[in-house]
Amino acid sequence: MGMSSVLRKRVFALCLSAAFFAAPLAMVSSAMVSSAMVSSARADTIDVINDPFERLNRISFGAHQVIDKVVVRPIAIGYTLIPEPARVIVTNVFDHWTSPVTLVNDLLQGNLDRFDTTAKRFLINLTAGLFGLFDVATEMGIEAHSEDMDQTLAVYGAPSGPYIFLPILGPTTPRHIIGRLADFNFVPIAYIDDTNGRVLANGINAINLRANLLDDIDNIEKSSSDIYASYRSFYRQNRVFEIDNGETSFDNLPDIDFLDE
Amino acid sequence: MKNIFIASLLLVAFVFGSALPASADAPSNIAKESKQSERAVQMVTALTTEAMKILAAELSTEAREIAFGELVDRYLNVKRVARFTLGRSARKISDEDKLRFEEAFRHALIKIYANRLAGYTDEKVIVGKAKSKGRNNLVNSQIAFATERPPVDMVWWVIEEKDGTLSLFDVQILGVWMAQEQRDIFSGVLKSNKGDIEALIKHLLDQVADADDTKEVVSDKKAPVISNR
Repeated sequence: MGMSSVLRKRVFALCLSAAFFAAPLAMVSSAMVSSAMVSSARADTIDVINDPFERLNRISFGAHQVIDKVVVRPIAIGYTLIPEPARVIVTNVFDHWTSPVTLVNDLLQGNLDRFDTTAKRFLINLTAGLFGLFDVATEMGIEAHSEDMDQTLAVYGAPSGPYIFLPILGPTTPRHIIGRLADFNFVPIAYIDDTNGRVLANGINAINLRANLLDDIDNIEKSSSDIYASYRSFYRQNRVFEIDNGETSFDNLPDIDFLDE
Repeated sequence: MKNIFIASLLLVAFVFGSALPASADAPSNIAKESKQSERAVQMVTALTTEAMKILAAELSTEAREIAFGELVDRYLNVKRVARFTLGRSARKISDEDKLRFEEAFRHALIKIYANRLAGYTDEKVIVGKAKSKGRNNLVNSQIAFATERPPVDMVWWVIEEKDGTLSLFDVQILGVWMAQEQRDIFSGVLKSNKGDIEALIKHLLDQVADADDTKEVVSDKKAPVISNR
């Protein structure tokens, strides 16, 4: 198989893996670093709304919303007819088999404690959890976390670049796109030879994710005065939060002293 | 030699002289911050208990909004949050316009969150520990769901006012600060209207009107109306 074929296969699988709403939903739930290096990455993510293509992005967002309302959301609603314990198993399996991405990025960020946690979780859920069907590790008090190449690049000081909203893929940035392409090498689904099998696996993942967030997304869309701006804000803030490994420190808070003047 | 001895004494006196007040202050600061953390936890516990009671009660949309309005007035420094959401634009706006904006903001805020939270009726908020620095306090908590959904982390940013009372400034859910979200929305509205505050106030009033048009009665039962104090 030629290199271009492999690459095409990967990119295709990548598109489906982020399938529709993986990206925007990831920012809403959690699926949905504190170093000087990160500060530059953080600064370009949170202090400035770096959205020079806003007009084009809003058009993409509109198309994305139509596809969601007409196709994805109705399928997700139908999917919720499956009993919850079965849906939890689906979530566990996809979480388990994407954990190599976290493992590699823990290591690349030099975070050995988190690497150790991810490795333990992977082994426990692989064995006691019957190949990831059950999240035994969490029950044992070993909590999950997520890392990806976008976060790793941010830790190394790479700027995110402008905000982009791609139809189907959702909100992203050039750094995030590069990160996803790299991460996909560590997702076992990408190595499924059968195209139909790969499409099916990614499709189930996307619908499961969308179903898990039905109420949250509905609530946000019902109450936001500008859904596009809300999604952009969630994405930008959640990325910074993930880069900071979920730590909220006083140093990260915006300056509000001027408000009392 | 004598000069060196005197210089050494002066140096020691200087070092200890400056260090002593600091070392005397440090424990008192720690004690103050610890006490402040405790108060912040108590405040968030009281606030979440009241909020969950409102959500669990079978209230009409109107009654729920009134109850939320009361909570907002009691626990939130609306003026500070409103000015934060204006960003740098706040400096260019007259005091009169700021007051009009604050009123519209308060109204819209109650509509937004009374509706956004309406679906969360069976959840529990477990308030954890807090940390304090200066007048800022961050209180950790978790939303525990009745379903098998994993708990969601929340952080409450509580500020000590000049009179010693505590007020809520912002809430973070999964890394997303709510006031920051509003600020991002408002900056877009101001940008597309060349910084015109009238456009933003109209945007908020339209939002309130839209919410009024789509009012839903949560329960068929006659809902008790909680009056404003």
